[in-house]
Amino acid sequence: MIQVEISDRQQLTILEAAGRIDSSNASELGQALSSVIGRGRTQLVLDLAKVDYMSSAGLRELVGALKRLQGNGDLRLAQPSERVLEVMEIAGLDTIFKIFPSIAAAVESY
Amino acid sequence: MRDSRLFAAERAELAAAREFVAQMGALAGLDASAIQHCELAVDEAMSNIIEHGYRSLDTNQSIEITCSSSDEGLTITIIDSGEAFNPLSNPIPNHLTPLTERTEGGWGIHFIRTLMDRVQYIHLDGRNHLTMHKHRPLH
Repeated sequence: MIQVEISDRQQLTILEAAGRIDSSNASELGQALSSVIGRGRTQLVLDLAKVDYMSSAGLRELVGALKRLQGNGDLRLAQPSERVLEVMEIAGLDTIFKIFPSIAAAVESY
Repeated sequence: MRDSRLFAAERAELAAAREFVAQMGALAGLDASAIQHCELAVDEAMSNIIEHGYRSLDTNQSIEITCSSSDEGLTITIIDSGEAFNPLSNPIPNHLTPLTERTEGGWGIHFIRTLMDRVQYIHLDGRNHLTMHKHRPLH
């Protein structure tokens, strides 16, 4: 079970995820991202500070969301733990996503 | 020390399997980073078995995980009765592939190969045996 809190700040939408993301629950993250994109929000920040574990199933959802946004907005990541960052690096996704050390930095990047 | 557990081939069992491997990793003297690598490798292997190996079979299948700790580290063997599949035959994903051409997956086996120090596969007596070893860090 993971939690995803969604908040809109003007044109930005911030999603704050919490929990350990694996193939049993990654679809919950995917559904949250899809619902946000589905209502036309395209400038997204995903706060990963409270995600201390992510398997490839979670990465699949992130890439799926980024593909849906491609050319029309972005999904930027904030505060990934060292371990989540490690799996992103191994998957070669650290160069695909824009990753920021804080929510403020991610928000200001838009 | 050696211990085996039988898990139902269900995604809901992933957390329990990771917990088992983490406990055995601690007993083997692995540090937090190495334990996390073992947890991820087991998670990915088990997820693949559930998603692919047992896809065409009836429910109520199981996955056996055996952990053996020694002075060298932790050895994990995952055994399933699903379709014969050698994960080590999978191609290594190309990091340079543009996003639009990437398939959303294929990383699980890449994680196993990257994070574990030794990985072996055999198909024996109709079952898949995936054995992974993580060295204890040198101090």
